[in-house]
Amino acid sequence: MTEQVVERRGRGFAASIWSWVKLISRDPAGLLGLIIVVAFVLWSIIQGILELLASYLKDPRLGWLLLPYNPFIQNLAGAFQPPSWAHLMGTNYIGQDILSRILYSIPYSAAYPAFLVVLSAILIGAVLGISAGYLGGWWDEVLMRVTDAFLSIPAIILAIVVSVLLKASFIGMIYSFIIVWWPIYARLFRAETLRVKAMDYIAAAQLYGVSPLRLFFRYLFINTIDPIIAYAMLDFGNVILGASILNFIGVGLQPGLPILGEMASDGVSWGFPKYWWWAIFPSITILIIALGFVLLGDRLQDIIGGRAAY
Amino acid sequence: MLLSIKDLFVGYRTVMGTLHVLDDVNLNVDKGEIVGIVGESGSGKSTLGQAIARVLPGNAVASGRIMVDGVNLLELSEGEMEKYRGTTVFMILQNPFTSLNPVKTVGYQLMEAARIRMVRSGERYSEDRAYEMAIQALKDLRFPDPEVIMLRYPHQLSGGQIQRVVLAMSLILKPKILIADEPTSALDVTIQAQVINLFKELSREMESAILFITHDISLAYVISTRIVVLYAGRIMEDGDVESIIREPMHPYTQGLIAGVPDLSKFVSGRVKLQSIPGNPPSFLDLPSGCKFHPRCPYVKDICKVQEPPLTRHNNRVIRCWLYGGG
Amino acid sequence: MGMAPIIKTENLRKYYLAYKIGLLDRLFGKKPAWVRAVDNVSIEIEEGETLGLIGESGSGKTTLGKLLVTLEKPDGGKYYFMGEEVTEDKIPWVRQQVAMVFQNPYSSLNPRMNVKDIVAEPLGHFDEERVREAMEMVGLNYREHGNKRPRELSGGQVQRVAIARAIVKRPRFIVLDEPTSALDASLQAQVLNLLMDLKEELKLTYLFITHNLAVAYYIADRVAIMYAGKVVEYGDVDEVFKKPMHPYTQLLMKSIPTIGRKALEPPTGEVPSLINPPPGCRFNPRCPYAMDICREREPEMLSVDKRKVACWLYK
Repeated sequence: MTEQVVERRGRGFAASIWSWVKLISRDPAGLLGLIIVVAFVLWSIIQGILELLASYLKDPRLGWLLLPYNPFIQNLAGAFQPPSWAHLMGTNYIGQDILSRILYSIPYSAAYPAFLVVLSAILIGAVLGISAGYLGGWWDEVLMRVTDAFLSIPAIILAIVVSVLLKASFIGMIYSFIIVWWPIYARLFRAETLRVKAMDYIAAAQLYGVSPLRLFFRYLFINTIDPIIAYAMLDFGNVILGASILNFIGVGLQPGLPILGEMASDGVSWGFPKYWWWAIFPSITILIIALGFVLLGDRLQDIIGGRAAY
Repeated sequence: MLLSIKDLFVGYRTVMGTLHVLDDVNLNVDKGEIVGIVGESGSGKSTLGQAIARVLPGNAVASGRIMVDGVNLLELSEGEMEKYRGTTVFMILQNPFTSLNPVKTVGYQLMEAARIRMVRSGERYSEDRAYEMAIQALKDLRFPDPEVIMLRYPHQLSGGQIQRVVLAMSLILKPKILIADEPTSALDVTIQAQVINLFKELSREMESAILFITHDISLAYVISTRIVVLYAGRIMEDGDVESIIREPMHPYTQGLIAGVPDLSKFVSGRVKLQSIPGNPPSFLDLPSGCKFHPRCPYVKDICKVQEPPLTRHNNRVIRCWLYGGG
Repeated sequence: MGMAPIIKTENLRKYYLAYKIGLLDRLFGKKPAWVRAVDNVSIEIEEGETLGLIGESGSGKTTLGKLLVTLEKPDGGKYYFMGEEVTEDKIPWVRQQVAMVFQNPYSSLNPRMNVKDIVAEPLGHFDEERVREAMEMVGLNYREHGNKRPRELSGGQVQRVAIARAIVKRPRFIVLDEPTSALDASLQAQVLNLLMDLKEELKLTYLFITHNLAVAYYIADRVAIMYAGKVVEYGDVDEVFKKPMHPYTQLLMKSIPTIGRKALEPPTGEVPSLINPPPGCRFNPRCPYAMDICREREPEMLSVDKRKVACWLYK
């Protein structure tokens, strides 16, 4: 029986974004998540561009154009200052303003790892998962066993091991995360592909001789990606947390640049509890960013999964 | 009058505002009557069933009166309504595979129904008696090995068997009002016929007021004593089954009957099926005046502007300007 | 009516594995069980005719339809398309000339594609002329509907898109799998009439699969009744309906709700298992006329006048 479908009249891309925003905001937690994520993304883009321009144009001042202080300037006289109007989050052991360091580090400390890892994992997972789900047979069996193996080991442990093997650099950490992260996406894509494969429009496409490449992109990928998007949103938070944990124990650092996890680690080792602000503020930042993604991702999963309350 | 619906309105709150679905629904059903509610998808027929059983989704708003035994069901709180579900109002759903609890045996669920029945009638609960009631109900539904079925889980049964189990449940509960929402649509033709026959037999025994919701007018003919035609959330015609089929008054009813492939039409050669031009309207965009006017072959000016009220003509209730309406 | 049969099958068979047999299962000697979806079916469809294939769920009708458009490969028997035996290498050639319309309109169209792209897909490249023509033939407006997504259209419109897609390449043969079952009553007639007009205009041949006898009567020239993977009766539609010979056909007719007749007389029991069908004639457990031989041997297809029946009653 054809069901009466209540549909948004296609009034354009902007309108459909707005109705998503409205839907998400019906839930206060979702709204909070949305605000945090939007703020995080906007800041990462703006600050990220400034940092790139700074290195491209060889003018480092661009990097702290929007920040209260130059995050690298040392001022031993002003070390260990507690939070005040001058330094909203206090200063560290060599007098650097913690707020500025946090803001400076957000793009490459949180945003780049999150997006690089998740997007790569989605790509790899899509290719492997969709082909396994669609083709079945021994290819599917092989993939399932491989992902089983990966998924049976806690992600963080695996990431640590692999990144140490890859020399513990920032890129090494990213690679190790991607290696650890793709299996879950492969499984998600495979499951969705199994559902989509049973649809008549796939049979129709086979009948009309649609090329494999077109079948992959226009029929399979685009119709399986919905739940993955909601999951990915949650996952950004996971990667940020994971990366910060690795940074905390000294893996994946970039010499000379402030890193959120490392700041927290230094603050705990050397400043806790007397100079609590050194450890606490970076940690809270990590927490808030991750939380934002979790809340937003959760709400998105509810909406896409049809559990959303109007 | 067992069930008396007056001025029922049901709408849904959505991101785009409130959708008006059911409007001006006035319907009386007496015990022993089987009313076939005939409507296409988008007619609001399921909403009507859900409104009476008070199982509308969270974003629904309803106003009007659904009177059973002098009580307006719409005014009851959820807690009070609990006592009405099962023995006063019971609903059979379309999809058999989601009707029963998948983790409990058939026996458990039937005995649960028996327990509810006993408690509500003031009888003391006895497990033996509940078991007896369950077995008897399964026998009435022609299960050859009721003791075995009692031990089965829903996933071990076929669609037809599940619907018969649900019917057994309604035999036990003996509800005053039984709503069947497309209970046989998901079943094969021969199984559907078996279930319908059982349904007809049992309805005589149950003395309930039965609302049989379907999109299939031939099926409604076979099972009902009375037919109510629903379109765009409004009752268009309401009358005795034989006369409404033989002499449909409303243009929509006429169009429905003229368009449906039914073997009775082809007795003497093939007759071309007439189709109603256009599509049923979406609730987002209802036409002004009479909701059927864009597709009506007899449309007049007044139809486009003002919605006709429900009026009575001998034994027929009809909503159409062709028949006056004061 | 046409001359030579455009479609001919001889003892066509399609079996499915009832459950997956993995590595461990093989070690324990688990034997495969086969679902006999289509079991020795021999039919012919003449050019320009509409063959109504009638059956309930589990009858094998959808599988047979898929075999005829090569969406499934047979496990046994032969399939002849336009006189040529269809072997692996002939499949692309067959696919050039056939199309299929599916039951559920919404799941047969890619929800993330526009109507005009959907209709153009069989062509392999976008040809506005032909897409526009196909859409107009089914009563859709290219400008109004072309850029819409399936979910923005009503059920009837979506099915028209599916039909437009099926005819855009001017196929010779179309398999329609319950194309109106999921549609509202008031739209069924529209779509059935459209299909009949298109058949005349484009000189098509149809296999029309349905469980609804009245629809089959309306649209078909000949009908084949399927039960549990086999064809049990096969003949001219007027004759089969006026004088059904096979007991299953007779009981089927008495199970359909028909205006003017309040009583239904269905067969008892359920459709048999396709993995372990009853011995002999598959219908014998439910047949009111079952004889001993029915329980022992499967009946062959017997010719009675121009009718074919698989039933010992007519030997």
